[in-house]
Amino acid sequence: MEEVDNIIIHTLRQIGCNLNESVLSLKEFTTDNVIEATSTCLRVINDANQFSRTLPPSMSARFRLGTGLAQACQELGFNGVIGYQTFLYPTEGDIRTLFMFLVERLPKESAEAADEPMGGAILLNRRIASELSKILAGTWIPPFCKRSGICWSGKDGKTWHREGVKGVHPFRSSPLKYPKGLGDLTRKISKDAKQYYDSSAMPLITSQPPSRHNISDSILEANSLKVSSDMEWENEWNHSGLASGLTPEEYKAKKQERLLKKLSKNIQAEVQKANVESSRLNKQDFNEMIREISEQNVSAGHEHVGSRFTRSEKLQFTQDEEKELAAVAAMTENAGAKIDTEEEIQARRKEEIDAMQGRLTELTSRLEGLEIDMRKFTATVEQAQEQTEFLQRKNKEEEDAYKVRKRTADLLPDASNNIAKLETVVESSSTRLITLAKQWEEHRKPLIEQYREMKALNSTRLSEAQKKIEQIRNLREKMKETVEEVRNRDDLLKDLVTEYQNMVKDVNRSAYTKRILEIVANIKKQKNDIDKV
Amino acid sequence: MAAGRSECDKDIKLIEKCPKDSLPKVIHGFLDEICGQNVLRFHDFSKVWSIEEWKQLKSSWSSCLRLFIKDNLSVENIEKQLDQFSISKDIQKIVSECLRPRKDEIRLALIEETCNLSQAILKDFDWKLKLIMATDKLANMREPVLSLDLDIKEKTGMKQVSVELSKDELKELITSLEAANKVVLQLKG
Repeated sequence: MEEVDNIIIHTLRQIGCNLNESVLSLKEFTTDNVIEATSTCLRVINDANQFSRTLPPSMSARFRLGTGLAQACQELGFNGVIGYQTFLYPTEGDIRTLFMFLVERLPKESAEAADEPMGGAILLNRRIASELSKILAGTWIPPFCKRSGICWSGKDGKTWHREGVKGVHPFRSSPLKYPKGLGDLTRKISKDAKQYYDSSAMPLITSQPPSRHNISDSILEANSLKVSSDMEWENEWNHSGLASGLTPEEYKAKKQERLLKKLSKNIQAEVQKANVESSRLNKQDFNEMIREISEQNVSAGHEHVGSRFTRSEKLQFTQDEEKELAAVAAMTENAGAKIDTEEEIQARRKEEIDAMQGRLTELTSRLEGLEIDMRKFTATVEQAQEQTEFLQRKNKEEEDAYKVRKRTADLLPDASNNIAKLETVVESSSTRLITLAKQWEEHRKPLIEQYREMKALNSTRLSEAQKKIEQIRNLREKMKETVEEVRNRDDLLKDLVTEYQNMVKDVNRSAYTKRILEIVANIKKQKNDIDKV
Repeated sequence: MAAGRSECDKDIKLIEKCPKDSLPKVIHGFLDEICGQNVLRFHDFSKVWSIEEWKQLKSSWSSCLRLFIKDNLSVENIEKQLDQFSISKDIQKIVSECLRPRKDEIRLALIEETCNLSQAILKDFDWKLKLIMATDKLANMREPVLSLDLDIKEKTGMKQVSVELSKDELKELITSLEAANKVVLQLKG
């Protein structure tokens, strides 16, 4: 029965009964223990059962508590004999049956939780709920008492959560400077670099960002910059770098050259385009500009005239003052005549301008006509040149033909002799040709063989190289895969470790197994007995 | 033109006022500024230069140093250039000593500056993932939203753009960014 007791005591401890460490079996249960355990069990089974956990001092209260507990148990469906005496004067057997019943009735929370599919969503929800309840349970602390909004909680003060947004700051990175190229310890650092790294111009990274908050931001940024650039390079190298068969430096130099060429080409093209456009605009604008300027001139002329007019008027008035007011009428007449003359001048000017403009347009049109003529003439000149060239060529060809014909004509008189001579010449040249061909063949054969050999060698080498590149690529991929696998395994291990830690590691496993074994043994015994009967 | 030149010479020569032991600090400070790091404070040098002098000195030296790095000048050439401004040998030596180890760093910074010629560039971005668990209409919903803060540097100054994206919107954003990246890669390749 020891195992049963163990299980019961363990379960009771789990649901929060304050049992002494030394209590090992139900035999050692005091009345207090019994009352507390029962009321806790009842409360866990049904929240409505609110019984006192401690034994009240007065006898009548004790009696009432006992009967209440008994009644609650009976309501739960306990069949055995139960009354206040079970709790106030406990006997080992009674309380064992009672606790066995109660323990069985306890809500199987853990079992249910295990049955549920533990999706990430549910876990997250539960975590959020627990966190919120934890925060709710804690006392409120004014913001100035929390360092950057962090609240410490828990019995040991090890858990924390963040409250509010006081400790939150925007992500601002600033470029960091740090010694570079020191990974290889065997290489010597140049003197001035060392001086620079040692000097105050290279402060600690923690004092480089303008604000203390931004240290981690800057470090993260610098790190991710490096990682992403390295990754890009590796990708590119794997894709196109390896296949090109160059060393990384050569490849980089080549790429730089190519990019520069491309850039300059693009820029040149754009500049040309812009030039063409602007020149076109210029041409279009030119006429407009002339018109504008002429208009401006006209208006300026008006102004000029106007100002002159006013000036003369002013002059007039000063004269008026000098001449006294006596001859007002005459003077106004005089002034009117003057105005007339001014207007005439204006009209004349206008006419002149019109005439000039007419001439200008005439001249420009004539200029254009002349230009067109000139273009025509140049075109005809070019044509004529081409023709002469063509004729010259023809002439030369005909001259050559004439020379050949003349020689044959010269040879005609002494025909037979000449034919014989020609034949001998032809024969000798053909024999020479044959010997030459033979010689050539002799030379050619080994050369061709050598060439073929070389070619084969080259192709095998190429294919070998290709194969090696392929191999390298495969290896790299495999490497990556393995790394990935290792990472996955690590994650799995971590998960398993946390799971293992989360699992209830009770001593009772052995107790349970022992009990099961016992039961099995009992059954065997019974079977044997039955067999005997 | 000649007047401008002599003005510039004068600005450059202001460096000679600087005490010897803090000269490397000043030069490194100018270089740091080119790299976009901490800026030297006038406050530390208010005994040496007046505020106007400080401004002139800073702008002239900054453009001068940029020129040295841009043209990838050797030490002799740098010293020759500084000779034109009739600057003493000691200072020349210190300048070239400061400049030499940081050549690549500053070159990179200048290249980056050139790359950032568009009117607005993304300087930093920050994101927070939020989980909407319930609304006034729905008791239980689980919708993740991402609040994305973009720090955009414009000619007029910094501007912060905050957007909240749902899952689909985020996907769209990422695909469009990837497409842009592809175009850049094609240009590079």
